[in-house]
Amino acid sequence: MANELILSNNEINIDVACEAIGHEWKTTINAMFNIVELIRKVDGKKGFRELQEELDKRGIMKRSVFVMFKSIAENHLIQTNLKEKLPSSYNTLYYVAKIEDVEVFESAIKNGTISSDSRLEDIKNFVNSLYREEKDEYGSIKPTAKTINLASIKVSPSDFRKNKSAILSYLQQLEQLGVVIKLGKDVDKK
Amino acid sequence: MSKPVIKSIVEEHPFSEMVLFENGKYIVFGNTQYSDLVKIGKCPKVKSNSLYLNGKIQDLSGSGYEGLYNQIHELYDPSLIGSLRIQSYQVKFIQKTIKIFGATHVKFYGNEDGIFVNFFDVLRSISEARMNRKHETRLLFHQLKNQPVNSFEMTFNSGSFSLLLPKSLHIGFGDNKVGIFTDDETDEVYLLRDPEVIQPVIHTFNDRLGQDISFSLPSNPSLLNLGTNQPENLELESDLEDF
Repeated sequence: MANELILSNNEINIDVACEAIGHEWKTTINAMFNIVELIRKVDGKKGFRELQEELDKRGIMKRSVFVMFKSIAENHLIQTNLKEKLPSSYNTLYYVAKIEDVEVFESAIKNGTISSDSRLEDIKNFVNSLYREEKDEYGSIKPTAKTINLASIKVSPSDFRKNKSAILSYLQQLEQLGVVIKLGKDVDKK
Repeated sequence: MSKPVIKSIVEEHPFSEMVLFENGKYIVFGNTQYSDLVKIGKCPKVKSNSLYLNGKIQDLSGSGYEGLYNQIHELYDPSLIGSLRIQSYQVKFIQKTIKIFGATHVKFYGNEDGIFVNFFDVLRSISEARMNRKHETRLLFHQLKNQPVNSFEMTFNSGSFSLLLPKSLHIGFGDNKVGIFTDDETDEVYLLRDPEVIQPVIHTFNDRLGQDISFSLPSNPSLLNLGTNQPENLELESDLEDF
């Protein structure tokens, strides 16, 4: 009788109920990570898009949910052995999956920013703050053309004098190919 | 009911001359200038299949729509050699850089150091196309991610890339030389074909030297005749007396 969910006086047996629900809940979390692993196996294979459409068409998994699981699967920092330390809902885990930097991810787990108790809003705010930082960085980049040095050659003055016409002829040919030649101040072209 | 929807979809895509409506989806084919681009979107209100060329409906048999649709479907569901998720501000950054740098092409590539994008003007590597002799062969590169990935590379036309909406996108690099840009929010997909142009500069970082190393590809094949003793083919290397 002690193992019954409902006791004889019609009360809930709290210990039994906690254990039973806890067991099933763990199964749910395991199932979520199993789905992540399954998607990881098929991700990037031919027919992946068709699978997504078929799951939706057959009423198994909506496209929006599949996309979330796909995002989680794509982030290899999210591993099954960390499941005790990660949020147990795929909605929250989807936002955790947006953290790609190893150091940020590990320190967030260490300091408790990410935990099994994390709420969706908290993780969302944390991820958005990371994005804001990166966005600001991008905003400060001024794309400018950079000239790459292809080669730099040093020739002794005596060698240069001996092979002057040949060297200048080669340099001229390179210039004709569009390479910018910068000669040292002490080079006498005459 | 579907006519205004069709009209607005056709008008929303001025870079296209041809739009196919099939099974609640629309497929926009880029015009001559953007022939490397196809966009796929949803239009559940459009029930019947049809093909529009320059805004006018075309006569296509029942199986014709499906055949064309299947060909496109085949293109956007390949095995991937790499993938990447970029944020809206990164798309904006790339589009802005294309404009400022005057890049004709962008090359995405990944390796153990991360994922990068290179900007270059392919015309600078064609000797006939040079406007003056002082034109530099130049390349701008930018690191998008620093996580190691399996090696891949794909090049896209800058013009077509600039047509992407600046949104968070998942990019799949197909083994069929097609880049699949998906907006997960709306499920809109852009397909960009790799024109397989050769980047004029090979750029790498050498760990041992701690230096960036660049090799410029010759724009003129006559460079091979500068006395570098390069045989035309391997057979020239051996002589009958060697055997």
